[in-house]
Amino acid sequence: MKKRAKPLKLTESQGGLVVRSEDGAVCCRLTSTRFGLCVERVRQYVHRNARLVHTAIFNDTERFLRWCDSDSVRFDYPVVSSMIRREGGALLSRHEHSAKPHGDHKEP
Amino acid sequence: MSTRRSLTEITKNPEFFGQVAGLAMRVSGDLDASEVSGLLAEMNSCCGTDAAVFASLIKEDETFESYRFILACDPTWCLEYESTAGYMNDPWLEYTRHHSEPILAERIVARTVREKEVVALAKRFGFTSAIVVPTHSPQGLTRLGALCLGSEEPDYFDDRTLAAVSFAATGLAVRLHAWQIEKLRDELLARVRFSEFELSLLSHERNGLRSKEVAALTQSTWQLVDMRWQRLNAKLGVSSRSAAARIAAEYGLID
Repeated sequence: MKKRAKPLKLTESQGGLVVRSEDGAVCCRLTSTRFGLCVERVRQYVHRNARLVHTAIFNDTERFLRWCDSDSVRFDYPVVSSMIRREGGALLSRHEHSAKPHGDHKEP
Repeated sequence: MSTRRSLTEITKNPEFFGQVAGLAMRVSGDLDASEVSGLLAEMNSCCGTDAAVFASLIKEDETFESYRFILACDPTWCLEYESTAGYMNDPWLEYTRHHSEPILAERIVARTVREKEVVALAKRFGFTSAIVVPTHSPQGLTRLGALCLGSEEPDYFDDRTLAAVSFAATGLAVRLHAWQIEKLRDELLARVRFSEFELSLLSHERNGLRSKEVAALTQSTWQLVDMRWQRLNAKLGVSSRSAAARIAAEYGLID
């Protein structure tokens, strides 16, 4: 049976955005840092009696989108997944923009 | 054309140990996870490695476990590891549960098909050659950690360099483990507000004191102690005092 897309919550916390599925099984904190986009992703598996939390830094959009596409959350929680992709992508693009050299400065 | 330095060359550089010690000394409770990830990336630069992960594990109760990974490698690895439930069949993690000596990952035998798949996955993501540095907690607590450094180059780590890299990486692993416990404690304190009395109840339970003994020590009655315990268990979402005290100890709230 196809799982219904769960509603989600989007909140701001500790300077970052938190995307959370209504059932709490998936939670992703997106924070813009000086290193790039910091993603803390929490996945809770009740039937496996486990919670996995992983933290990674992304400093280019392509790598972030590839990561989003590899995540099984895309199928289990499509709305959550698209929110992570959109909000994370926006934060990362702002980071990339601010990290770019300004003006007409050119590398020698 | 620049050629990649061997680990022997790197570890023979007199600055190597100072650089890694400098990284370890920068680990403090003020850092957030992104900064720790950045620090692991610096560790990769120091050691000439391609991937680094600090993994930690805590048993929440008899059946439920939490795994945390700070990555300085391709994060897709963790998604695949999770979707295939790699943590249930990870021979490197299993080694960490029972040993404290750093080891070349190739020395850890993958016995089952699932374990071999977990190792193959790690190899695909930059851990072709790897070293595993375990860290433990005292007093029979379940929380543990492991720093894993990896290289895409086969045999990058070997017996000749194991001692030097172990010596350097152990300090960092221990500091990261302490950092993780501090973060867990902060998480628990953010989730649950404890009164001084409740903290003392947890400590007394950990020391094996019964309600009447606690009542005598705290100048209250055993009925009041029992009532406070009921509230405390509800706050922590556990069914027994021993479970509450164990969680408090695992999360570094009490000794």
